[in-house]
Amino acid sequence: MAAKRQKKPDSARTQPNRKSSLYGVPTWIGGRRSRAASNGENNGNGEPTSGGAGDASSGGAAASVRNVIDSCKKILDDQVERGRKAASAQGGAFGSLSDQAERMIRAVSDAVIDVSTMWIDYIGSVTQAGDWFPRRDAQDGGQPTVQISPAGAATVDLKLAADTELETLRFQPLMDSDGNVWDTGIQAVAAPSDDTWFRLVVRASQPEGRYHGAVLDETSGEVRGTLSVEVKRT
Amino acid sequence: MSKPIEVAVIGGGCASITAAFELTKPEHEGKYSVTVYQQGWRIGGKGASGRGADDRIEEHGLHIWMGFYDNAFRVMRECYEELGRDPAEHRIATCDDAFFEGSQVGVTERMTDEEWNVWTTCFPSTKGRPGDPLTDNSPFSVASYLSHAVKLVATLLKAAAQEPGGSDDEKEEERPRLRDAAGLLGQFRRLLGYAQLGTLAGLVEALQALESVLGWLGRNPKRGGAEGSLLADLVHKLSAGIRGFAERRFAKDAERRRLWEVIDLMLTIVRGSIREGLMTHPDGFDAIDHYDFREWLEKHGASPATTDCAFVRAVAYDLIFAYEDGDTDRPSTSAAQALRGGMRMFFGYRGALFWRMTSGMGDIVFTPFYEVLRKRGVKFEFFHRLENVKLADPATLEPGERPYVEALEFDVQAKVRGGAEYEPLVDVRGLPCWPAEPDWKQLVGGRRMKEAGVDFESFWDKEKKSRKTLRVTKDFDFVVLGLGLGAVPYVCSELVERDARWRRMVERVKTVNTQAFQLWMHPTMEELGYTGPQEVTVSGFVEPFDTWAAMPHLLSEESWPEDRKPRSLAYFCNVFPTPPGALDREDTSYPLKRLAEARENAVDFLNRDVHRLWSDAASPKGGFRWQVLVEGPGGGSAAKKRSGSARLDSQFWTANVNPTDRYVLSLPGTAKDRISPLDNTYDNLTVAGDWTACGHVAGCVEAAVMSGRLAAHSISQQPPLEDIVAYDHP
Ligand SMILES: Cc1cc2nc3c(=O)[nH]c(=O)nc-3n(C[C@H](O)[C@H](O)[C@H](O)COP(=O)(O)OP(=O)(O)OC[C@H]3O[C@@H](n4cnc5c(N)ncnc54)[C@H](O)[C@@H]3O)c2cc1C
Repeated sequence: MAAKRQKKPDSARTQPNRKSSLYGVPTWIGGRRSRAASNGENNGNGEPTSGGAGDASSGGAAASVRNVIDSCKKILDDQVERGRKAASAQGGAFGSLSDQAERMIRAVSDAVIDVSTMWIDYIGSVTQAGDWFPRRDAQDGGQPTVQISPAGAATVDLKLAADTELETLRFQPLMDSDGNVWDTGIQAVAAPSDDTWFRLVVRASQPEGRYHGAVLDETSGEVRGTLSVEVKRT
Repeated sequence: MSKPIEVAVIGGGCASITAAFELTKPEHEGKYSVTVYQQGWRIGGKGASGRGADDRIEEHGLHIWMGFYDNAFRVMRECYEELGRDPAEHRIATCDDAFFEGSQVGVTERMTDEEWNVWTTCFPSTKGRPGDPLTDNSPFSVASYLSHAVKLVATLLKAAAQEPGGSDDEKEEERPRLRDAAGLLGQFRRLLGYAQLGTLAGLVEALQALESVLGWLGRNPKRGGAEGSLLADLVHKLSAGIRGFAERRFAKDAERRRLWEVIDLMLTIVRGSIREGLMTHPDGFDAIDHYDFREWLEKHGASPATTDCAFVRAVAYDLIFAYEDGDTDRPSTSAAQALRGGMRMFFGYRGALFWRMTSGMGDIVFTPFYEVLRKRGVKFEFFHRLENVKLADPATLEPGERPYVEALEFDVQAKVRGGAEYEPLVDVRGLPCWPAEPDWKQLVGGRRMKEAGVDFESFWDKEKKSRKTLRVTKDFDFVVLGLGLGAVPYVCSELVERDARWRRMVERVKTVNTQAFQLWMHPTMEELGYTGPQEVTVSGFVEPFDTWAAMPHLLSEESWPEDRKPRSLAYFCNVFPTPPGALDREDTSYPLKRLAEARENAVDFLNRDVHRLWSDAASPKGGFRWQVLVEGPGGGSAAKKRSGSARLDSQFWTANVNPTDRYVLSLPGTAKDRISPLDNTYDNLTVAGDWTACGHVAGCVEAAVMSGRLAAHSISQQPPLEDIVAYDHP
């Protein structure tokens, strides 16, 4: 009898997924073993699932951020236009420069204006994706809760993601789900015993609420994840 | 254990060898039995090298690995680990011994008809090494690339302000970090308070502020109005500031122009990427694949000086042979791949921008793979030239059955004496290496073939001892087709005739010939008048040889007698004219004619152009000082007789005109024409090579390795696609 012909298995796909994932974390980083994939926060395409993994507050926060973006856009459109006009009014100021130099400098200044609008576009696109809080929290599992009493400050220790050094992170001020920003009161400090943990110090006067804030890479400014903490009063 | 699945791997280039390596990993527990079928006496393909007289290394062309080759370095490191050479016994025992950082990079720029400047720079070392596991702060998204570009602009602004030989006259102030609203607001006020925003510190700071400002506005909805107008003022003053700054700097110092060109280039890329919506486009950079890179830059406002600058020419065209049909008047490269490659190259490298090999590429890369694969039980059938991939007759397919490869037809080019296995390596002072020609002594009729000038790697050579046909299920189950793309029309004519996608691919994804030569010289580079960094790679030079690398580190790897020891070694490489259309295999004089043409190009180039790089290489009467060239062995008396350009005969040059050896171009609009190794139209065939749709659409080692990993995945589902670094890259 003739041997049975072997057939290759069909691949799930035959093309790369070129869509940039949010926050500069492409699909292949960490591979199968990545935290995001293993705890079900990744839809397999490397994009965080929309809806913030069940965080009820994130929808409201995303909406408020969208409003901010919209109003910023208006302001900027208007102001950038004014800037452009003003810049072109200065057009004659090149004096002794060659044509080539003049063209180049104009291109540079135009680009600067574009760069400023880029960040609006980018933030806008992030919010349109409906996932301002992708929930790549610093801690595995649910949202950490910290109980504070009027008597004094409280702390909560959170585990850092693997391969992350505290010094490389910048914590944005945390914001509650209405879009109100609370200046300080929650700070990150290295837990003394172990550098893979960090500690949030919560002032006794901190109002109750769910707080969220981006955690950025100190040097590149990229968003590394989001920190969400609920503050409850005893 | 059930019978292993037989995999026939065709060719021994980076892609096929990677596929063989992945398929025979211990995790598969011997599920796949792999045989590599390779024409001639060595593996390596476009990355092959061979040891010639005096053990000198003769390369297919200049080979450098980039610091972003995460897949290539990863498998290479795994290979060296498995090889387990004892560092006490082997001078090249580990991957760290095999590669070293070679980040001295230069571009050349024509100042006047006679004067060329070589701009060299050393790219700083970065953390880690290519192939290290990635963490999620790796900068691989369009947005993060753009933010790197903006940062680079700030750095270049500072560089442009540097006085020649002196220090920066613009004092940079200690700046508060943009951590919070109050800080940002304060910073704005301070910036706007400058007499004019034309100081370096002010400009750099303003660029950084622009990067951060919107994030801040996003968190401060109630204060957007007031700060919004501050922002507009900032942008306005910044524009004026850049002009003022440039007016003072740029006009008085023409050399600064180079930096301005790079600034302009970066800002054009940022602007173009925003305008084209690349940050969120589902096709990533491929959304602009239909543009030539320069055309795309022009579209987004780059100045003509920028699109034609040495940097663009060197990186986006010369280094990747991006000249259609090898015609240096027809530069062409996909904007998508130029950006993808450029961004990964400059913003994604780890350790060093460039990594150099401490010996020939064959010895550094392919010997370890060969030895490890042999140990794992992989069979190597050298001197097997595939002549035809035979498809099953469509009429015989069962309903629903997919087409498949029924047979592989080979010419067996040579037989080994006594039916033994061919032993391909030679020992060079303890290092197993590939020779530049076969070991004729092992071959039946070897002496005759040597005397007849048989060249097993030549497309035109028809030497064959017998034919061999491998049949599906009997001799193989799966095929990994790892030939160079240029060979596909000749070897896979059935596929090309029957399948429109294959036809389209071979018509549109074009390939080009290349030419290269190597010089071993008595004087040091300094004595030749070159005073820049010693181990430099320079591109963007005059045609016909636009790329030069100083390779002095290889001399100690060769075996030169004291009286002929060279003190410098130079590699040159370039594209080579490639007439369109099919080659005539009967025209056996063709490769010799082309080799003579490459030699002639080298002679002209050395006589006419090289003194612009090495000012003392010209003789007082003009032309090249041919006597600087070191003679080959036995050259003693012959050397005295050989004078003028005849001395070049002692050196090495090559015209890479075999179809399989042609370099694969990334022409605009052709990314979609490539076939993926994951494609399953033919259910027992997978393709592997730098010409496939492997994610990185470029002719380079990394693309070939990615493709080999994908080919292995298509057969064994391993490695997982997420582990193929940057397959899912925008
Ligand atoms: C001059 C030059 C310089 C380069 N420099 C660099 C560089 O600096 N850095 C970099 O990353 N990349 C460089 N490249 C590109 C790099 O070499 C290739 O991308 C890579 O080697 C391609 O590997 P591959 O496996 O796809 O194909 P190939 O290397 O072409 O392998 C094809 C294999 O198939 C075999 N074969 C062909 N026909 C047959 C047949 N009929 N039967 C049996 N076997 C057959 C060949 O002998 C070969 O072993 C350079 C290329 C050239 C030409």
